[in-house]
This record gives sequence, structure tokens and C-alpha cells, in this order.
Amino acid sequence: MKKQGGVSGAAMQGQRGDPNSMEFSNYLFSAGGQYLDQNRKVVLDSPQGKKALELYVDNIKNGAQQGALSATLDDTFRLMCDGKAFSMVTYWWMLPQLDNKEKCPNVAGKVALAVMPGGHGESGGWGWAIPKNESPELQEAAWKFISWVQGQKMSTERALQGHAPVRSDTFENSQVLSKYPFYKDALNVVASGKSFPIFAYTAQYEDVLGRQLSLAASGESTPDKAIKEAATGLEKLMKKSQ
Amino acid sequence: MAVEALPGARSIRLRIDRWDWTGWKFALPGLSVIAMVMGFPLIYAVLLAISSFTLLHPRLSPFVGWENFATVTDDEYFWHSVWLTIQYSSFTVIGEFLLGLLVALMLNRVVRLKAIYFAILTIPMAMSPVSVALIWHMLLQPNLGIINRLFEAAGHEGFDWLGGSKLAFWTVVFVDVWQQVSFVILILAAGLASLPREPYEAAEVDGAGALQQFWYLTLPMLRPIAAIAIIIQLINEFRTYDLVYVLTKGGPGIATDLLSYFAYKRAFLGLAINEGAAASFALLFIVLVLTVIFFRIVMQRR
Repeated sequence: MKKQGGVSGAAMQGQRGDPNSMEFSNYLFSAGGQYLDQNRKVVLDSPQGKKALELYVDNIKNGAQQGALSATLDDTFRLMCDGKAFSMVTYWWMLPQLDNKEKCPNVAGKVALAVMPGGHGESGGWGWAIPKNESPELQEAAWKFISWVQGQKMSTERALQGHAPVRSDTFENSQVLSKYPFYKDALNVVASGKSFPIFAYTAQYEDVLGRQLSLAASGESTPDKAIKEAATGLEKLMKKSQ
Repeated sequence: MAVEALPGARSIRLRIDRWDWTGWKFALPGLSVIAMVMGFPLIYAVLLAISSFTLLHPRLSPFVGWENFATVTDDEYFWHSVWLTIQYSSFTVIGEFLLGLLVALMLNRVVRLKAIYFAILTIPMAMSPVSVALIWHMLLQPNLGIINRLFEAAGHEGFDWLGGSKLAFWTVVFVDVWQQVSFVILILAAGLASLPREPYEAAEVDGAGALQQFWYLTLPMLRPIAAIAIIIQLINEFRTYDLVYVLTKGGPGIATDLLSYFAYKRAFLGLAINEGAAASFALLFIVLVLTVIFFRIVMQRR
């Protein structure tokens, strides 16, 4: 596709750290792999994990744009917007930005959402948190605010103004769907998504994993060695967090 | 034989004591500021480096001595970062010095519009490294950046400036030299302007050519100023963090994983402020050793 069509098969964000960790996670879940099992035991070093990394490395080398190993989300978005890539793995709520005739005239009307092949991708959702060291009054006030802002009525109103919903009933709301028809697919993306390991050292793990992914993708390590090192790194950090 | 005190010795001593105390009083405001902005952070950093302070355990006690240093130096990527930082600093300082000297020599001959040249030269120096990195990141973007477009317009395929393991290192070196060379030019140009004219006049009378004058007069007389410029830049380069953070995040692989970035990751991604401080002291130690070695070489030759 790159040689014959002049278009990269995928706009890939292979920069070390958060970009390549998040992107690879989609490949991992897509290939049936996982970081942790139900008992939070590290199971990354598996045939599925290795297959996912092999696919990821192959795509960086043969399917992605030039410079994929230093690319970030912004770089891949610009490429897609410019019509220079066939696909990209990214946040579902970025579709309206690409499907915009004024901002991205080359691709507007030609882009759509799809769940990752294999039926699962990375779920990049964030959550509310109430610090436990706050007073009970403040904790209650915080919970009251969260209940209000995430409630059905407010969630629908916010969604109609362009905010990304987190409730399935908002995704399925007829008013919301008539304004954003792609929310039907977005719900499938969200519902089938799996999470990156969330623990005290998640940020450090992104760097540990990102380094191994980058080493494998640049040919300085093998997928087999890289996935083993990434799994060992996760085990060490999980142990440290206990 | 009894030694008698000279007449008036006591009053001289008193005057000296009074003078010393007056001097200290004048210096006190400045010293207080230095103690606050340099002394306190340095002492606090030492305490952090020998403590168990992390973002999950935000307390200094218990103190753990050398443990954080041992943890940091046990990491195989620490030594990679040390070696890479030594290479990076050497290449950038050499590049800045050679280019800076060349431009300073050229500017030394300029008579008209000198102020304009100097004003232009200070622009990169006045910019923040983050802005410089962002600008170069856009210019060097392989698919949409203007530099590869220029290569393509000239019939040559563009380069993967920051995505190739070997090229990324040299690209960061180049961007750093681009920004920092202005400082070296200004220092060397000031040094050249202050050199005495008499030795050159004598050399001309003796029939020395321009190259001989440069080698036997300019370079030896410029050595103290050059040494200061090199040491300041060496310290600056060892601390390089911003460019790596914006341009490569240490990648591809570990190609640009400099020591300052390593220390940042330990402190803020790993939440281990104590280990980050220990890594920073390792950096400080290396810079001190190199500075002492460099000073000795310069002083011996003088």
C-alpha cells in the first residue's frame, strides 16, 4: 500500500513511552493477549503477547509512515487528516475531528470507527477519584458532584455538547445518536475495550514497556526477548507496589 | 631574645578586624540569597538522596545511606545513560567550540553592522530549549516537515531524523549545537576583542603569516577564555533534558536516553524522588571530575 498507493497502511505512534505502550496494547488485546490475569498475575509473556509484538514490529517496519518510531498522537493525527494514511489506532472520540470538512477536507466523509480486529482494543478511559485523606464532608460533597455530573440527564446534555459519554444509556440515547450516529460503533469500542494495568507505577511501566517495544521495533532486540523483558519489568513493579 | 611588639601593631590589627567585619556585613545580603537559592536546595537534595523519600512515602526518615546510589547504579540502563551522556556532551561541546571559534574569528574582522550580527546570534540563546525542540520537531517531521520536503524537492529521499536509532542521536546533537553555539560565539568574540594588538604587530614585523599568528598567538592567548566557555558548556550539556523530553523521550530504543532524563524518570515516573536525587548526584560527580581534569590540563599547558 505504501509503495503502490503512496499512502501508509497505518499512521503509527511509535514514540517510546505512553504513545507506543498504548498503541501496542491494542495489538496485544486484539491478538488475545493480556498483561494480567484475573488474579493480577503477569501473563504478558505468552504466545499471544509474542505474536502481538511481532505484528506490531512488522507494521512499524512495513505498514507505517516514515518516522513512526518517533511519532506521537499529534503526528499520526496530522497524517490521517492529510489523507496520507489508511488507518490509525486512536481514541474513538477523535473521529469528529477527522470527519470535519473544514479541518480535514481530504478525509472528511471517508472515515469511520471499528473495533480492533480480534474484538478487543485498549480502553483509554479515566476515572473520578476521591482522596481518602479528605474529610467525610468533602468526600460526600465530591460524590454528590460526581453523581450529578455523571447522572443520566447531565451526561446526555454534556454528550449533546460534544463531551465523551461514559454511560451506555447515553451512547444509546436517541437524541445523542441522531446528532452523532457513530456513537453506536463507539459503544462497541468502549464495551469491548480492555484496560492497561493501573497501579501505582503505571507511568513507570509505560516507560519500561515503551523501551522494550522501541528496542524491538528498531531492530535492537527481538520480539521474544523484548516481551520477556517487558513481562519481567511488570512483575518487578507490581511487586514493588504491594 | 625578647621580641617586642611594634608600636601601633595593636591598632592596625583592630583596624583589620573591623575592616573584615565590615566586609562580611556588606556581603551578608548576597550570601543569604546564595544560601537560600543554592545552599538549601543542595542540602535538601543530599538529604533526599540518602533518605527513603518517595511520592508514595513522602518522609525523609528512615535514612538509608548509600542504598539509593546502589539501587541506581545497579540498573543496567544507568551505565548506558552515563556513557551516552559523556559521548553526547563531548560531541556537542566540540561542535559548539569549533563552530563558535570559526564564527567568532569571522565576526572579529567585521566592522560594519556588528551589532546586528550579535543581535541575531543571541536569538537562539534567548529561546527556551522546549520551544527550540518543538520548532525542530516540526521542521524535522519526516512526512510533513519542511526539511524533508526540501530534500524531496532536490530529488533526494527524506530522512527519518528522529526515528532511526543512529540518526536520532546526531539529530539531537545538531539541534543542541544550533541553540548553544551562540553563547560560545559571544564569549569567544569578547575574548578575541580583548586580546592585545602588540604581539600581532611584532609577529607581522617578524614576517609571521595569518595561520602562524592564529596558532602561536590567538589560540594561546584565547585559552583561558576558551577553557571557561568549554567548561560552562560541558556543564550545560551534561544537564540536557528538555530536548530529549520533547524530541525523542529517550528513544528510539535507548538511543537518546541521557542521564538527566534517566534521573527525571526515576524521580517522577518511578515516584522515587530519593533515587532521582541520587542519580543527579552521580551526574554532579561526573561533571566535577571532568571539570577538574579539564582545568588541570589547561593549567599545565599554561
